[in-house]
Amino acid sequence: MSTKEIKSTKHILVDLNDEGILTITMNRPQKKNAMNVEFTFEMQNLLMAVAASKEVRVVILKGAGDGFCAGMDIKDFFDLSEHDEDSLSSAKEVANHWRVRLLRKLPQPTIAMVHGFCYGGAFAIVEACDIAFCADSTNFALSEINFGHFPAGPVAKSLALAMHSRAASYYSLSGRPFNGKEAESSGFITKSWPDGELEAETIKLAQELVKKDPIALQFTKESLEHVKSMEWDAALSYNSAKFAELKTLQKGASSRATSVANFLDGKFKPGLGS
Amino acid sequence: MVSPFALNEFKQLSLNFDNGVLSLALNRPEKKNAIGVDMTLEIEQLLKQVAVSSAVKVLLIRGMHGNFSTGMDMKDFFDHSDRDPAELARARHATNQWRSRQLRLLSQPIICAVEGYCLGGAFPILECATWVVASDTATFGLPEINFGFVPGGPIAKSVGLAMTRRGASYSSLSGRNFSAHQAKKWGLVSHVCPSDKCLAIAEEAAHAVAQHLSEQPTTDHQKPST
Repeated sequence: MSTKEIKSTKHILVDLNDEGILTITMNRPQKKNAMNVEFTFEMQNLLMAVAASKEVRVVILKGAGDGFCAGMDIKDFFDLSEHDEDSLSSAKEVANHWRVRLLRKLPQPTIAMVHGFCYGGAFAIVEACDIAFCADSTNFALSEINFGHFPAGPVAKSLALAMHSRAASYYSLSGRPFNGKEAESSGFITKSWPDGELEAETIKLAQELVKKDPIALQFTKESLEHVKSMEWDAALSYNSAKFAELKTLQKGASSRATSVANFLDGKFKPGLGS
Repeated sequence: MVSPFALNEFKQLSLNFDNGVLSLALNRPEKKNAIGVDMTLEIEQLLKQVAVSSAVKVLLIRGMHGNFSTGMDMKDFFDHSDRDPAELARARHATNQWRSRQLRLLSQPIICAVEGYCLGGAFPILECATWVVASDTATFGLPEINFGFVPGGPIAKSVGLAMTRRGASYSSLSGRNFSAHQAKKWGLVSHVCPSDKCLAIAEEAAHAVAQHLSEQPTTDHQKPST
């Protein structure tokens, strides 16, 4: 897996610019970018390649056409005329895996750029991104309840993580739609912008982020994620270890180069206790 | 009322004791009240005394000369410090002690008044407070990332406890400053007021609470530990 594996596929467009900003576009506009089986496997492969790439510095995730994503294409996940049983059960796992783990644990900062609509399973995509920007006119809905269903898979957990609990209960029990500003005050969205400003503001932020130290960005994400579940003393201990690791990695290239030079000069003998 | 301890033994903390309210003002104006080695040792020392003082009913924390604090003084603590390693080790220990333990275990309520800058290492103080009043011109931020650094474990933990998830990620990854109103939306601040009222409102609240607590029978009103 490497940068050269980062390429557009049938349902996903990618664009990696010179600055290191990778734009991932969910591209199934005729189906409101709903996630089907093929898309799910494509996204898994893509995110594994992104995680391994040093060239990608920031990820923007968006939808093609009229909106962000309408959630799962449930029908396709049960369509035995199109898929065999094994690949369907694998796809169901992967649909959770990429949202819950791969996207969340990317070393690069991630920005969800949400416009048009965002429904059901797409909430778990937005939540897993570090920063979520949307357009004021975006139509959000957790309408599962209106079909006798409930926010399934990772969605309920995503709501609990990013939304105030009152908002999570209200929107998922009532199924009522809400707009960008309401999504921002629910805690789910970082900031809602006037429609005409969303893209420019997203790019402006991404351009700021690519100028920052990539290791420090990664460690900031990791600290926020991990210290929550630690006791204070464990957080202090984790901090000391991370601090030392940061200094080592930031010195990385040059100190490795020095070590190699010393090795070549005979001053340093790896593994010989020198 | 007679002060419960020697207030003038502290050089970088400006202290005032009045009717059960101990006002602790961070006072290092040339560094916008950045917390360096000397100040951190003083904070640890002071809080040790506050913890066992029955006279202090409320602790009010603020900054002198228009700023709360710009956080930890990196230069004094880290790479470029000209301090003795043993002294730095003692200062790091003191810092961990007061922001990860002492402030959390105080039985007295803490009220913070935030004017001007409040950055990075100052966030755990707000997180430990019962009530935070901020001037509408105050500026908040986690600037660590802007110099290739991270909000360390204890700061990240405080941020995770006090702020919404979106606010925590956005401000720590972008390094962008944010306003008092935004700080309130993101959970860091309880109340935003006009800048000329900030100290007065905090003091009034502190005295009201102190008065109330003075009228209670002397029992252990310790906060539940978290």
